[in-house]
Amino acid sequence: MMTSMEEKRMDAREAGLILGGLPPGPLNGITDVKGVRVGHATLSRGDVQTGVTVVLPHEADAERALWFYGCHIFDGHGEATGIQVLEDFGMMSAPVFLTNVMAVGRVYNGGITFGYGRDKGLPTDGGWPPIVMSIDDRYLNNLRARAVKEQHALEAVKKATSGVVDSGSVGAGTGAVAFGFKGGIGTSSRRVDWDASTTHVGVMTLANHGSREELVIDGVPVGKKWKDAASADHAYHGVVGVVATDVPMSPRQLNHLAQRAVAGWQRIGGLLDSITTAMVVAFSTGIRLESVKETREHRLEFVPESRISSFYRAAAEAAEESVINALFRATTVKGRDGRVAQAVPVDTLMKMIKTHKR
Amino acid sequence: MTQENKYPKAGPFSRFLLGISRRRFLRLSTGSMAGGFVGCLLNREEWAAGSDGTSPWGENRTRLRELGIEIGRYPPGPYNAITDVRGVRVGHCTKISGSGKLRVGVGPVRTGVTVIMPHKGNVFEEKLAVGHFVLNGNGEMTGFVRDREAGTLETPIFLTGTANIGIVYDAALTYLMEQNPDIGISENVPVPVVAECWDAMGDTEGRHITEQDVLNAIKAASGGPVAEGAVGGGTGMRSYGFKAGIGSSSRVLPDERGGYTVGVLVNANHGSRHLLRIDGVPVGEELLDYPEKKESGKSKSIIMVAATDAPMLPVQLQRLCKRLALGLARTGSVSTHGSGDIFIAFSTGNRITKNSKEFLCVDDSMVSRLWEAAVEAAEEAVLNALTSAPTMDGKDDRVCEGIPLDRLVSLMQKYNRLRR
Repeated sequence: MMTSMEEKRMDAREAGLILGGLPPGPLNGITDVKGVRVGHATLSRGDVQTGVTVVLPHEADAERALWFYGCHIFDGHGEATGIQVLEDFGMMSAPVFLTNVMAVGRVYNGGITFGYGRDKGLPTDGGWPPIVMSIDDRYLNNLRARAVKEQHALEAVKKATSGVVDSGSVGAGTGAVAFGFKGGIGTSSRRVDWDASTTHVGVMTLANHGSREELVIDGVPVGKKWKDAASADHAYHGVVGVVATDVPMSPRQLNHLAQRAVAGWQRIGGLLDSITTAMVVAFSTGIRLESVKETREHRLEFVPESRISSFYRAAAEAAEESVINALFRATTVKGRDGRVAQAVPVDTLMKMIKTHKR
Repeated sequence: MTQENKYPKAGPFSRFLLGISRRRFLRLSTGSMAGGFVGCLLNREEWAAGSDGTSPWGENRTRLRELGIEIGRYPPGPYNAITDVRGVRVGHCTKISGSGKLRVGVGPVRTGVTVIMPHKGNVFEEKLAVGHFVLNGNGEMTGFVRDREAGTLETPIFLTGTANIGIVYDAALTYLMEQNPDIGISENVPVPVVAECWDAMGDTEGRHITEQDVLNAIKAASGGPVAEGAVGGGTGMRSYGFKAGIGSSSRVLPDERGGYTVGVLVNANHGSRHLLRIDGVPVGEELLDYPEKKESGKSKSIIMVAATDAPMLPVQLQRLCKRLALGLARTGSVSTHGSGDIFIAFSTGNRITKNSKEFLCVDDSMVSRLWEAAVEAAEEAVLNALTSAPTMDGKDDRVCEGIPLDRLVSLMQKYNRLRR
């Protein structure tokens, strides 16, 4: 077994794997969408392998403003708080937290503290209700230790930055296992030129799903062919994602965007178990609704339906690539009861793909 | 105990309170809160209403029926509460302390938690069919996504203030983990159902609920009469410009209609004064002159929980949930933009385990009467929250009046809607 220091980690593109036809944004990450920030709090010691990741959709000074949100619950066996406002209103200003399924209450409470910091009348704005989505990372993490505290949600918020997103075995992805390998946080983006402006669709995925034999990369059933590595297969599958775009989109279009992210995941596989979590929250920074008393009407501009397909394609491509990036970036982690989830050996895998394609 | 002993700062409204506290109403008796009042009394500043229905503010409060006002045509169960559904238990933990100016982290504290235990067994092991309806989504009910996906309820249902959601959620997990040592090891982690309303009468930001408070509410859960009004999760709630909070009611169908019971429990924190209607009477309009102090924080909500022993599919329970909205509408609500009007209904008619292969459900020819019962119980539960809740002061000495019961009775008489 290699140690994490010796493992060479890289994005899919660096390894020579080009998925889809649209070009990525400059960072090839969700932060290519202007204003979006990502932060992690990582807990990695012994049998505690877990954490919190937050996606902040907009700058912190944005008080009394709302953005459009959408979601797609492919399988809801897990938690997504804030879902009533999201589904019924389609506009909010909520941060999106990811964590383990045992930590939802504490992270939510951190979201409340964060909200009060923005607005003393919490439910009038303040980013309430916080969205908290969860995965079950018990393969590596001692869930019952309940190591995540409120402060870790606040730490993730504090550390949130634009620019390159830390990925792999970090934040909520610290203990994640996908396709029998070490999973975790992965991100990718696509650039779409629209009406003389450059826009982006960015996806961040927390990959904790799939059995080894289900793994398909670029159409190659590598999981079935894999013979020589120990598999960390487990039954606690869950994958959650966040899609961001600076394209002005309606809540309905954002629901569709979230659906397409799941379609992108599906190209890799691992979504077919009976009790699994697979859900996506999408938001657009392209329309900012100033919610002030004097406002009587909003004049909104959306992408017309005739032009929307390329954005949906972008979401699927970026979602697919974000899962591969999670695998390629994640480092080997040893967790509870001596269990190990091995990092994907990228070179071996790429050789398999090239051989198959030839 | 005198009012002064119980409550250190009665304020300028005491004259008014004392004025009505001496009044007797039709059959107003000790029965209004016969269930007693389960509080977590942590220090001398925290107290609770006595089981004789006397509030610490010196008012006698009672239930709608005790005033001679009866809603609908079906009879209520023996307790006229959600606990008439066999096995359902309710527990409250009430946190009240301090008064005067808001000091974050100190008080005044006007909050609490109410728990509904769906059956006497282990609900994580033996789940119940569940349905939901979101009338207006400006609220939070955790566990919604999981329960909607699975069609089952696997935890007790908790009602609390908006800011307490995370704490109550986490405490619920503590309870469930103690009860089920395999959770997180060989068993999946449950997603507790915690629903909120904005209890802006007190220091919300201070989040005065602790894990122990939640566990105390669970421990206090019992069948029988349900304490209503400013108790548990309803402590800091207002509705239609009056003090409100927890209310409950039930209906029993005749044997030829299946003999089923439908029980409803609400946490009422919604609506403006002018909207209030009781049994069709425009009570709100008639009471517009009654003092109403404007409170800050416009977001108001109502959470409605229905239970029935009629065996029902999740889709049928979803349909039942929509009828709760009709009962709510009869009390005048228009479900305003800021309102989180979220409803959940469960049936005790099936216990569902991982290997369940059989399911009992009522024929759809039976459901219309169940809907009628649900509408009646929902309406009466909201009104019980109003008539049971006493006048209470909140942060910055803002007073929220209880609905004046003497005027309510004369109004109903005027409109010829008094049953006895």
